[in-house]
Amino acid sequence: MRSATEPMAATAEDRLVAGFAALAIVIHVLEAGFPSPIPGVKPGLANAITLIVLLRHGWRLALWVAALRIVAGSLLVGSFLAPGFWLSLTGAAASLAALGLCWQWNRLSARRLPSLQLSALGLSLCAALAHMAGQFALAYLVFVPHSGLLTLLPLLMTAALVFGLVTGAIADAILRRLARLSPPPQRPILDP
Amino acid sequence: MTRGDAVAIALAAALIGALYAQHWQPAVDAGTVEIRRDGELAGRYPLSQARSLTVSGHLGDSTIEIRDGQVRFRQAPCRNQVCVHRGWLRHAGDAAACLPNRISLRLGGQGQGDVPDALSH
Amino acid sequence: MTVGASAFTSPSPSRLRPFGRYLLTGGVLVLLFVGLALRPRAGPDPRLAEREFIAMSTLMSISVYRDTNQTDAEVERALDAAQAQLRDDERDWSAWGDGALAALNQTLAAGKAVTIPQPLRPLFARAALYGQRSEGRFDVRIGRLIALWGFDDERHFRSQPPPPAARAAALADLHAAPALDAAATTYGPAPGVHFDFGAIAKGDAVDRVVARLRDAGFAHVIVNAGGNLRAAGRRGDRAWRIGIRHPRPDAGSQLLATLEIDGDEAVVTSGDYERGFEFEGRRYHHLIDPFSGEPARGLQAVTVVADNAALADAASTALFIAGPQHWRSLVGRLGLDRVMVVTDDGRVHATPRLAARLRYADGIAATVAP
Repeated sequence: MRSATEPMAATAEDRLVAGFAALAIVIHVLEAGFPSPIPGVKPGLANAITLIVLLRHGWRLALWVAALRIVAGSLLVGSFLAPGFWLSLTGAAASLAALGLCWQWNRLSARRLPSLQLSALGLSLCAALAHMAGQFALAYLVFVPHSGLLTLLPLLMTAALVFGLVTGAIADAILRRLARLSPPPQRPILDP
Repeated sequence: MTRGDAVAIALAAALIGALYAQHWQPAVDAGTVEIRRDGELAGRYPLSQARSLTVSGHLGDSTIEIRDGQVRFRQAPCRNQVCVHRGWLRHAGDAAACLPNRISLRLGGQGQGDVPDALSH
Repeated sequence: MTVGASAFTSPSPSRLRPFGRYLLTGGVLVLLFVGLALRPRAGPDPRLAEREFIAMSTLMSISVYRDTNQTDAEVERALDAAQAQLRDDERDWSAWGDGALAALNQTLAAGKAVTIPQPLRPLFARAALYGQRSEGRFDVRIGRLIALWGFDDERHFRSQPPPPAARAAALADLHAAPALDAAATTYGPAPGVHFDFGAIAKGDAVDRVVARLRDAGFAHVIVNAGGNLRAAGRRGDRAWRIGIRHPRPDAGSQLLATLEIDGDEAVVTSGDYERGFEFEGRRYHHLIDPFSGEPARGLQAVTVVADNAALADAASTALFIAGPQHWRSLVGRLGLDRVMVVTDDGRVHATPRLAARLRYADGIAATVAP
């Protein structure tokens, strides 16, 4: 709808994505400084942002934020296209897939078993576990097919459980604050 | 927190418990280190003998040092040097890896520990 | 409204106290699970039966892992039968004494030709075959030389080499004697020949015991005739684990390597440490080379893994005598693919298929001989 000669004005949506993505990128870069038993495998705290965007603004924006976070984050950290990049990508893909499944579950149980739906806490937990499992799977299958790696799996998944709950609680708190400040925007038509 | 969240947490805890039961090893001093390149065994060495080894991987040569029952990556061609920063490994089951160079270390038990069922001599 | 909106206006507010309670519950569940999974198993396995006894001048050991529907009494009966069978084999195949082979040897010594008794023919035929395939390194006609060196019987044990003249005479007799033919039912006359099946009889006896046990319904066994063993089946939920003795063990460990049995395999080792004496700083062992008339030099031990013990037994002797130069080419000719040798300098070499399966003891590094 914009003509080729007019300067492109950023829409409100663009600003939203940029803002959240910036936050996620900052978290991603800070996380890169964390030591980890398997280099490149991270707790995935930036997933909290993805979750918040998902619950407030729907899938499309959440995917954008996630993609931007991974690409720009890895460029900043210097791991673009390095093993760390693929690990982040796999982790994010796995956690988004898990979120999708949980979303479906929530939908399906909405009528018959509403109390069994997952709140931000449960969603974040599943996303974090999937994130870690996805990263581990990639590390184990592709980079280091060494059975010794398996002894780290229980530890990593425990960390994922803890981080998942923590980010879930944080995301939940943020969502409430945001809901008070400005009610959730009209759901985009492409909302699943 | 919903009931659904609670169920999710319980399931996650059970799953992780099972993982521990399957893969966890107590912290005993290791006797040998296995070095793998791309997952393939490149060498197995006793930790009782001081040694310095060079293993070549995708990016270049990594130097591995064995001393006083411990082993570590001393030098690696990767950028982040995470493997080197891992430091000395000493217990059975400990592992370290240089992902970019595709080299990994794993520490194994003392002696065989399992007695054979029969001896061929 | 859409599902998303209801997701974060959930029934109960997320507060720290219920959160903590659920975390505690989760933690308890984890501990419970771990506790259940790591419950220690108590006591020795009741399904494993082992029996040791002396037969064929060596310590025999048979292990049977029975199925849950088999009784201990059945196992005992099967072991009794196996023991009796081995005693019979010992009589039949003793190069000396009052058995069938000994009688045959006496006839030969008297200068007459012999007819090979029917029951002995199958093993005679195999011995002839292996003799051919190993280019004479495995030779059952070698009894006189073995006796000369004192390795036929503990009572004849020597502490120094036999006089060179006697050795030369025995060697000459051996080389002049007719070869053993696989299809033949007679042999001789050959007064210099004394048949000694020591390098294959134990393996064959082991094979027949394994077969007998299998016929009795016991498919998970190890039959070990003084280090010549065959293992079939599994030990419950894991494979049978076979240790291979180090030829020069130190105080720390006796093992060179361990092998997990896959299916039904024989593991036989020939070593220079088994029978022998030292004289003037040199070791004289019982693996006599049919060409030199002296103990074979160059290797400390040979281990052969094959699908039957008779072959593994004969092959381990033949390969030992072949020595460091020729063992590798002989492996193929004998139809084997899983062999390990230790050379005099202490280095370990193994064929690829065996190297891939062996778990070497600490500090042992092996070269793969392709």
